[in-house]
Amino acid sequence: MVIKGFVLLLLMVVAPIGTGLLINNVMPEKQRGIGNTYLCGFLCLLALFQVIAVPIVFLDEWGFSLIVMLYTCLLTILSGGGIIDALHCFRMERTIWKKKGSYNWNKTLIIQWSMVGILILFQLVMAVVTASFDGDDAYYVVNSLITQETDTLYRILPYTGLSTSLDMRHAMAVFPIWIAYIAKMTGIHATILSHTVLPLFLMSITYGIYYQIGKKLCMEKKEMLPVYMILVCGLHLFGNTSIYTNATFLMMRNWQGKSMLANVVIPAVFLVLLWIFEEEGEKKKGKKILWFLLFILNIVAAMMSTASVFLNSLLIGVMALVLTLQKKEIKILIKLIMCCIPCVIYAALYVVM
Amino acid sequence: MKDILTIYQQYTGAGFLTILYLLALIYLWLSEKNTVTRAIFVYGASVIQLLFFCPLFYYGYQLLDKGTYYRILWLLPMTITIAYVGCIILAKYPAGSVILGFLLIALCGKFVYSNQYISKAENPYHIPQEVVEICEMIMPKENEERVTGVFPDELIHFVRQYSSKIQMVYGRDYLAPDWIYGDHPMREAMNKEKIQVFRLVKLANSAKCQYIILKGEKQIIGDFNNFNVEFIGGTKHYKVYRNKNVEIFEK
Repeated sequence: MVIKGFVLLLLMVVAPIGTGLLINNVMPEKQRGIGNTYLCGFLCLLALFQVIAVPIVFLDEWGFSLIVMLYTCLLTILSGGGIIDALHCFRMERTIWKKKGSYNWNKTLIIQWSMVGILILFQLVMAVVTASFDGDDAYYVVNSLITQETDTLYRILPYTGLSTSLDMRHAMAVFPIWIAYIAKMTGIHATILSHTVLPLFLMSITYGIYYQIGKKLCMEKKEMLPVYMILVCGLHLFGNTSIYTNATFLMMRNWQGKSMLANVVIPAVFLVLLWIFEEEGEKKKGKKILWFLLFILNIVAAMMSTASVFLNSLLIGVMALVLTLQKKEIKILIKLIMCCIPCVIYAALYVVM
Repeated sequence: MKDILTIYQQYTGAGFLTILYLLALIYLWLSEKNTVTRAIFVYGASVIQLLFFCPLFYYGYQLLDKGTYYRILWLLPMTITIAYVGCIILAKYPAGSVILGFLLIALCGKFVYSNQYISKAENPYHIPQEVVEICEMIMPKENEERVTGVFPDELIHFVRQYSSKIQMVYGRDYLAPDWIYGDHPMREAMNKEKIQVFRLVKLANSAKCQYIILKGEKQIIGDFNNFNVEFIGGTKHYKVYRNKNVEIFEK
């Protein structure tokens, strides 16, 4: 149990922070913080997994062990590199994260932030103590479990257990295989991992992204931020107006790729767009990495579901048009379209194969 | 256009959060000064909404993927916009007004934990405990190959979430009437009001099915023992039978 928990922390906390530290160094100074470091590292590791796993899924039906080996090596190199670099910075007495600005704590803010904490904690506790039924788990969760238990990739029909041919629609979206990887490494049963453990991380990441977006939007009046977060919590807690809303997906099936698209990838696209365009005319160093992050997000989108490829491209395409027209810079359109290249490649692969 | 409106209504569902979003969007149209925020959360979001209601776009999307058109609405930053506008408005009032904002959202929405599909978790797997008990009864031993069972409809989603070593004669793909297959003969036999033992065992034999799981309350016509099928145990609501006509192979 202790070992499982330790490996889980290594994979879900230490490795993303370590990898994020590599990116943190080249990020614009304003965006340097532990939350952003974690988020960037987490997204980069997901993208890395997608890049490694998809070709292996196509080429080797028994290739899960190979994925585990390759991904673990690269993850170790990246996160280890980041941590060593950070230690070097400490030794040179260079700061890794920007110094926190002064925040005038008062009674109101303390109460409001406590409310935010309680609301998020309540959702995390509920994610563990309640079970939500979703029919799609019979496909996605079982797929993770099959991969964990048999080392095969998409060649066993989750519904019955009989052999099947490669289903292209699902094979390119390898999020269930990523869950199988975490399950294999930690030794936690894939169903327990999906239903009880991962929601704690994935919901926290979603709130982390909303917090960062809020920070950008409420830049001038930081006191508004806890109010914004309380309302975000409310919109999730009371967002179950139908089975289709992103809030329903977050609260009832956040371990599925579709929910990851709606609650991690899409909000993260908004966040990165805000980062890129936050200050007009400012040719700051470190902006390139933000464009790279948007590129990465398109790879992560492809990992979540086949439709994600189109949806993410559509979102970025629309934003590209609007921002280009507003800023009257054709470069924006070109750069944003270039970020969609991974989606175009995955879409082409899907059509061709 | 009717299809699009239906999808929109289905997405909106029981609450008024989409109306709240439209009001928030109008507020931003009228008051947002930051050009980037305006471009992304006002103009961009409006273009996505226009595209969503465009019939040509709808037909184009159908060529790519059917049944997921509602996901276009995920691209609308509803949560961000409502929360952002909410905090701008509430900043003009005393701090306690945040409670009112929260209550307004609660009134316009629906509490997720009141959903009929959310229940108290019975185990860390978040599947019914009876499924775990049944699976433990029929799970192959270390030296045995996978086993096959047939289960009542309400258990089908969960069995293979517990173990992939248990195969099923038919799975979730037979529960959705609009999916490809039509009904499975064995499911037809399982769902009859009165279970005909002779027919069920015959089908189980031909499907190489080693275990039959029946609802305890089912009326059974015939005696399983006469067909070499043995009752091996049960849970509160289900009975588990071992079909000895089909051997369990060793590895």
